[in-house]
Amino acid sequence: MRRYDDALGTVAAVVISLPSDDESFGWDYPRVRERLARHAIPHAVLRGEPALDVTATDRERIRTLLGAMPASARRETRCG
Amino acid sequence: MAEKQLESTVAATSFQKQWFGDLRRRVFDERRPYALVQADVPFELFDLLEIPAVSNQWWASLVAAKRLAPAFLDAMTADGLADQLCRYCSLGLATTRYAKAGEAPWGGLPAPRLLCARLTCDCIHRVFSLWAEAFDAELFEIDNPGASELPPRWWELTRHRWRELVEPHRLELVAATLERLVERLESIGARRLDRAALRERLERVNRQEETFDAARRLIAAAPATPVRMTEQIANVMATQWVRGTDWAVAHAQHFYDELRERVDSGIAACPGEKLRLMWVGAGLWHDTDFYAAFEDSHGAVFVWSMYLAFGPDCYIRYGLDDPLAALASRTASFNEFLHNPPWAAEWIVAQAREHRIDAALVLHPKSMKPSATGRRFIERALEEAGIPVLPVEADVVDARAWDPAAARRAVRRFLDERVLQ
Repeated sequence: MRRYDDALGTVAAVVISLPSDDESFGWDYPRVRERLARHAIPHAVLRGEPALDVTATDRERIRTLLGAMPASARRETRCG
Repeated sequence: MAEKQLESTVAATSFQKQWFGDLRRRVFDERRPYALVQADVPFELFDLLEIPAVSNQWWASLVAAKRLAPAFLDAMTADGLADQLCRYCSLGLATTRYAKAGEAPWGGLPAPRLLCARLTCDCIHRVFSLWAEAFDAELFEIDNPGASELPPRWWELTRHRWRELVEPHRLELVAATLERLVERLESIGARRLDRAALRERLERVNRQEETFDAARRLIAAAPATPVRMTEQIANVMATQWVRGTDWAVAHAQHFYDELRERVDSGIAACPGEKLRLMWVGAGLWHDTDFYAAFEDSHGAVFVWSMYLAFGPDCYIRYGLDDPLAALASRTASFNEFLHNPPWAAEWIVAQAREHRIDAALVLHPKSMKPSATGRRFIERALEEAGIPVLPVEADVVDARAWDPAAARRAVRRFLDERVLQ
């Protein structure tokens, strides 16, 4: 969780890749979501299998997230 | 719910309710510690150090059997925990974390002093960490070293040759972990573990399981089973959580005596028994009536589940000079025996033959990884042994996607088309 906290000061939004059957990180999601809410950082959760192509539903989630961000925040994208 | 046919079942159910009531009184009124644990940890240590242990699986099964689970499961889903995550291991956590979502049985779980779990699956560390956090309690974890040797017919080695079966390096690791657990429990319980008392307790566990072994053989050999599978489970599990205590040893004997009397009097659980069924997997706790649903239509009765059979084959240990090592040998290998190929498949086929099983229903839990992974191997082994198999897709505590009528229709069709043909 400290890793999340360290990174939160530098990002405008977070995309979380979390397949529905992820038995490890799946349990962390509510705590991550609470932290993001505390910092007022929008996020999207992608439920598709990361080894495969992004699903239409997940693409839509990313679009919605981008739409929710202020234009100034969209100029730079950080990946990781 | 199907009526209880055995007096001992009524006594077992009543004992559990009383036991839990006493536990709540001790915790709330006397501020005594208790522990919340996974079913596969060594309960004997907790009991001897006067820290009663409540099993997570028992609690989840109780919540599900009382049909109280959906409200808590809905709350988990609403909180962003995907439905595919293991519900059997986490329903208890849900009753704590989302306590306001529903009403937990018997007043709910009080806050434990310690939680304890074996790390048998990816979810266990996460679920128990969250639970410990919700209770602001300590978590003690036991590692789960994998077996590198898989000798055939493991159940013939557990009683006398357990050191060899479990392998020295695994035994050493788990025994050292249990020593650390004892230190923690001694500190919490403010008393020292009496090793002689531990040895005596394990001897009494042996006696209890020997009685269950006799009960199992009685069921296997009787012309018709004298006891439904659900009542076997109720009696066995009520004693397993307090194994080796006076009550447990006496109750196992009471259960056996009642079975003996029924067999001697020619009383069958299902008069006109025609088909003997086996259930592979954890119990379908939210719909236990399912198990009696094919008696009238097909004379089909569930005769076997792992719950009665596993105690005698996995718990008994002879040669108790080092009782903690004996206990560690049991703790080290639970999952391989019950779930993993080739051990689980080989044992279940042997049990099916001994119990004259006509057909097997194999649980396919969508979310319980360790217990789900070996299922295909078990099915294939049973089919190769000439025993028709029906896979049953279900979650043992989550009834939200379960269609009882459709499931019963599928079983009747299976019996008609594959077993009676």
